[in-house]
Amino acid sequence: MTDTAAPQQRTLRFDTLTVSAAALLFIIAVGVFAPVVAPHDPNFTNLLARSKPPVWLDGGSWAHLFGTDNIGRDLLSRCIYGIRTSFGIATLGLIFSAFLGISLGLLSGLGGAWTDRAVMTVTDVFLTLPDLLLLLCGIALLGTDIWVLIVVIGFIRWEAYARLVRGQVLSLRAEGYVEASRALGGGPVRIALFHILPNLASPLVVILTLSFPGVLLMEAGLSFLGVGVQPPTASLGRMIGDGRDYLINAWWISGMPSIVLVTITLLFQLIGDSLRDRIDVLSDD
Amino acid sequence: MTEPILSARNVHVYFQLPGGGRLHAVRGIDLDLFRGETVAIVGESGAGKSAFAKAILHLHQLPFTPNRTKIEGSVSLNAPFSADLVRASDDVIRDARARAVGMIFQDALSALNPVHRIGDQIEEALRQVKPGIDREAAANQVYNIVRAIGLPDPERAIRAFPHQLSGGQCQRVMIAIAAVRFPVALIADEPTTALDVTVQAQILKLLKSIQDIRGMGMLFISHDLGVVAEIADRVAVMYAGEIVEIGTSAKVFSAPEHAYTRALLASRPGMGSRRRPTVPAAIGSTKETSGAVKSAPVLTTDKVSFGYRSRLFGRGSHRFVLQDLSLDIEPGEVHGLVGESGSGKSTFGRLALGFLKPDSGSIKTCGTTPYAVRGVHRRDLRRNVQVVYQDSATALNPRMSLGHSAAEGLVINGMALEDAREEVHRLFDRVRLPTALMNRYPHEVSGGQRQRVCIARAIATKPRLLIADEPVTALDVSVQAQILDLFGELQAELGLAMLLISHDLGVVRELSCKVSVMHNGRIVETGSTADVFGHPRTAYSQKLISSIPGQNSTLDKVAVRTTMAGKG
Amino acid sequence: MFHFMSIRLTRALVTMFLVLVIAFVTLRLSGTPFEVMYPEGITAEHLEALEAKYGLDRPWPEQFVSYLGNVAEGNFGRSLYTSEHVWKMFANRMPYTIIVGGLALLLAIAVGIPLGAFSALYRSSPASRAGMGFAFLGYAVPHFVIGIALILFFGYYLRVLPTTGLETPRHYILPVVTLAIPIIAAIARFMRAAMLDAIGHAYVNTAVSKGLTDGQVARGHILRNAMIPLITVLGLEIAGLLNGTIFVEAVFSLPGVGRVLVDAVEGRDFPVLQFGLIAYAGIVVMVNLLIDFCYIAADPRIRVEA
Repeated sequence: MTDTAAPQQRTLRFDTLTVSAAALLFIIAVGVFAPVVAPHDPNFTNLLARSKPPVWLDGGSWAHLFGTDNIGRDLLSRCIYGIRTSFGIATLGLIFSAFLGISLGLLSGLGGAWTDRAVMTVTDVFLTLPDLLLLLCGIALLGTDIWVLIVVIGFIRWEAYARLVRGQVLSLRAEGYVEASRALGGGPVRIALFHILPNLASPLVVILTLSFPGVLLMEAGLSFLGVGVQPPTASLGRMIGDGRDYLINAWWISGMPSIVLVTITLLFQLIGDSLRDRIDVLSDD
Repeated sequence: MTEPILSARNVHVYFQLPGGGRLHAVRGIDLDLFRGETVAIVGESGAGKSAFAKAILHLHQLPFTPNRTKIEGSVSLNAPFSADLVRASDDVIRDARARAVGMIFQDALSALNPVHRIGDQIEEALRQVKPGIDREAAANQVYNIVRAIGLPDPERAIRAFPHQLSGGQCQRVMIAIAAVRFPVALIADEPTTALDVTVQAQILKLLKSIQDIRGMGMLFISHDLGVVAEIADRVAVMYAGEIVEIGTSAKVFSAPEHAYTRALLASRPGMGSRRRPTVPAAIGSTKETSGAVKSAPVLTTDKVSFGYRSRLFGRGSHRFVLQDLSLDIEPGEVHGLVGESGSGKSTFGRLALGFLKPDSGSIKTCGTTPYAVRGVHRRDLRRNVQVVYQDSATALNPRMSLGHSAAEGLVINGMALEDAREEVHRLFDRVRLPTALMNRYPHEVSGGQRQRVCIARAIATKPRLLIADEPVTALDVSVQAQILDLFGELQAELGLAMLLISHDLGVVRELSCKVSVMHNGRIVETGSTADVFGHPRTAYSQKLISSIPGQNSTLDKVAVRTTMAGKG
Repeated sequence: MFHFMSIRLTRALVTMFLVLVIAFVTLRLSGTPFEVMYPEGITAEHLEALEAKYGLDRPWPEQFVSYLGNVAEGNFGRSLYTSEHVWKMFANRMPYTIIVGGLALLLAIAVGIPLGAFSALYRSSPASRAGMGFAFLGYAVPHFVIGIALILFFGYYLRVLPTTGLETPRHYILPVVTLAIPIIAAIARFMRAAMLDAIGHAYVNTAVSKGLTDGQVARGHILRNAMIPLITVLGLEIAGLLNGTIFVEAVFSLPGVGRVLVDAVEGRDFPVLQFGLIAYAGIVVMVNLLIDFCYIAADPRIRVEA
C-alpha cells in the first residue's frame, strides 16, 4: 500500500465489470418480466411441433428461437420462466442464508469466548458435511414445495458468511480506530454502525456475489435430479434433466437451458472476481 | 590507494509504477567500497537507500515476475572477478550473488524459509560456491559457521526451524548464510531495525567481528544514526535519491556540511539540546484546567498484576504479563515508560484505559476505577483520559473523513455537528494541519499528518491524561521530531499529564520528566529522567541505557557539544 | 502438534456426533415406519402395540441411546421398500462411488497442481492464460452440464467413448473426468494464488540473493511453501466431490449409491437416507483426518513446537 492513491475518477468504462453487470441485469429483467417477454405460454404443448431445433439449425423456425421440447413446448419461453424460478429461489435462499450467517458471525465475533468456540465448531462441522445429503434429507422430510427449497438451501449455505463476518469483526475490533472510539466513549451501537459495518460491507458484497452461482446451481442440481422444483413449473435444472433422454436426437432440449444456466453463473463469477480485485479487502480466509 | 571492491558510478534506478508513472528512486549515485571498510548509507524511508542497495545485485527483480525496474550507470565489481553488474548477464549476476556479495535483510524471521531447517538453508548457500562438496564436509562447514555466529547449542540450532529461534538468532543465521560463502562484500539492509536494543548491540558486534576476521567490505543501510555512528567508517547521507554528503564518520557527525545532514542530526530524539518540560512548569499550567481533584494524581496504580490464561481447556498455566506494578502520575507530569517489546508496556496502557481488568491490585484513573465505571462517570473518564496509538494508519477509520474522525469525541459528548465542525477547524490549526484536509481520507495523507489527526482527536475532549503508546515509532526521524515537538508544546500549553510508552529511550528522554523502566512485566526502576539516564541503579537499566547505539561514540560527543553550545 | 491434532480429532468426533443426531432426528421426524408398512391403514391400538414393541413410545433421549447402540452394532435398519439391510445395499454399490471419486481426486491433484503452478510462474504465456480460462470455466459449470457436454461430444459426435455404465475401464473415463474438472479448476486457482503469494515473500528474496537459479528457487522455496495452504483447501473439496458423485452417477447411469439416494428421497425411504448421510459424512471426516496428517508432515510450524 502506498500513500499515493489519488481519488478515483468516476467515468463510465466498458470494462469486464460494467459489461457483465449490464448483461446480467438484462437477464434478470427478462426473468422478472417473463409474462410480458416470453413469446409463448411455457406450458402450451403443441404435439405438431415436437423436438423442433433452434432457429439456426436445419428445420428451425423464427417461431421457436430455441426450438421446442419433446412435447412441443417453446424452449425459449420455458428458459425465460426457468430464469424467473431459479433466480427467485436462489435470491431468497441467499438472503435467508446470509441473514443466518451474518447473525451467527456477529454473535461469534462479538460474543464471549465460549459462544465463539461453540459457533465456530458448528460452522466448521457444517463446512465439512456433504451438504447435498443434508438437502436430500430435508427435502424428503418436508417435501418439494418452493418455500421448503428456499429454507433448506438457505440453511445449508451460511458457513462462508459466518466465517467471513466473524473474521472481519475480530480483526476490526482490534483495529486502532475501534479502540480509539471506545476510548472516546463510543458505545457498542456507535462502533457497530460507524466503524464495523462500513468496513464490512464491501467484502460481504463480494462474497455474496461469488456465492450466488453456488446457490443457483444447488437449486438447479436438485431439480435436475428430480427432487427440486416439480413440474409443470419451468426450472432450468429440471429442463436439463428431463432432456437427457433425448440427447441423441434433440440435444437442444438439455442444451439450451444448460447454455442459459452457465451464462448466468459465468457472469456472476466475472462480476464477483472483478469486484474482489477492485476492493482487495477480502483475504483468502 | 588500492582498488575498491565495488564501485558505483552515476547509478540511477527507476521503478515502473502500476498506474503507468515512473519513479526515479536513485538519482546518480557514485560510491566506492574498499576491502575491510564499512560504509553506511543513512537517510529516511523513501530516500532511495534500499533501492540502491538492492539494485547492486538486481534484487528488485523477483523470479517469475515482470521486471519493473530499470538501472542505469555502472557498478563495477573487482573481486573475486571483474564485471559491470548493471550490464552483466543473469548468469554473472547469479555468480556475483553467490560468490562476491552477501546480503542481509531487515526482518530475519521472514527472510528465512519456514519449512526448511536452519542447517539446510545454510548448506544450500554453501553449495552455491562449492557445488561438488560431499555431505560430511558440508555438514562440518555448516557446524563451524553456526558455532562462529554464536548460536547456543549449534547441533540443535542446525536441526531447528526458523520459528523456533528468536529474531536476533534468525539474524545471526542470515549472517551465517552470507558468511559461509566468504563474500568480499556484505550488504546489510537495516539489519537491526526490527530488533530490541540489547539484541541490536550484539548483532552489531557480531557483524563487526566477522567483518574484521574476513576483511570484507560492508555496505550498511540504516535510518538509525546511532547505529551508524557505532559501526561505520564512512557515512553517506542520502536524500531524495541522491547522496548529499559523504565523508568519514567523525567528520559527518561532528562537522556536517549539508543542511539536511544537520537537520537529520538535530532531529534525533534525546540527543539534541531541545527543550524538555520540567515538573514545576507543567504543574503551574494545570491551574487553568478544571477538575475537582486538582492535586490528586491522575493515575494511581497499586500492585497491579495481569495475566493471560493458556487457552487449552481452560486449565493450564497462568502467564503473567504484569506483576505488582505500582506507578503514579501527577497532573501535568510526563511519565515515560520504557522497556523492550514484550515487557508489558502496552498492556499497562490498556489497563489504565479500562480495556482490561487487572487480576489483582488497584488502579485509579482520574479518581475512578477504569474497568468498572458506568454511565455518567464513564463518560467523564473517557473525556479525561485519551490515547494516541503507534500506527496512525489503523488508528483512523479508512471510511471516515479526517474531520469526522477528529470530531468523534466531540460528537459522542453531545456537541452539535456545526459546533463540532468549527472546533475541529480550531484543532486542525492547533496541530498545524491544513484545514483543507478535513474532507480527506486517511489513505490520502502522510503518516505524520495522520498522527496529527489522532492527536487532534485525542485533545479535542480536553483530557487531563494522555496515554501515548509508541506515538512516533512508525514515523521517519525528521517527522518524529516534529511530532515530539507538538507533544511538548501541547503538553505545556494544556497542562496535560502524559503516560509516554516507548521502546525508544531517546524519545522518552526527550519528553519525560519521570521515567519507569519495565522488564518482564515488572518496574525495575523509577526516577527522574536525569537520574535514570545519568545514574541507572539496576543492572537491567544500565544494560538498556548502555546499549543505546551511538552512546559513547562520535554521535554522543556531538550531542554533548551541541548541548554545551546551547548553554553558552 | 498434539494441540493441533487434539483439536482436529475433537472436531471429527463432534462432526460424527452431530451427523448421528441429524440422522436420528430425520428418522424420527419422518413419522413411524408403520404407515408405510401398512399402506391399507392400521388401527390405533395396533399402532400403539407396534410402537411399544419397537420402543418408539419411550422418551427421545432413551431412543437416541438405543439408536447409538444399533449404529455401534452396524444395524442401520432395513429399506422400507426392498426390506434389504441398508448396510448391504450400500456395500454392493459404495465401491463404485469410491473408485470413481478417488480416481477423480487423483486426476484433479495430478492436473490441478501443475496447471496452477505453471500459470503462476509463466503468467503472461498464452498457455497459462488458456489454462486459467479453463479453470475459470470449470468453476462455474455444474457437473451435470459438463457430463452432458462430454457425452454429446465424445459419445455421440466422435463416438469414441461409452457413455453409460462401468463395464470396462474405458467406461470410467468420462465420469472421472467430469467429476474431476471442477476440482481441477479449484486446485489450479488456489495453487496459482498460493504460488503468487509465496513469490512475494522475503525468503524468496533471500534465496535469490544466495545466487540460486530461478528453477532452484521455484522448486525449493516457492512450490514447497505453496503446497501447505493447498492441503487445507483439499479437505474442503472432498464434500463437493461427494456431492458431485451423485450427479455424475445420475448423468452416466452408474451403479453407485447416488441413484439409491435419489430414489430414497422420492420414496421417503428414511433408513436408507440416514445411512447415506452417515456414510458420506464418515468418508469426509476420515479423508479430512488423513489430510490433517499430511498437513502436519508438510508444515514444521505445526509439527515442531516453538
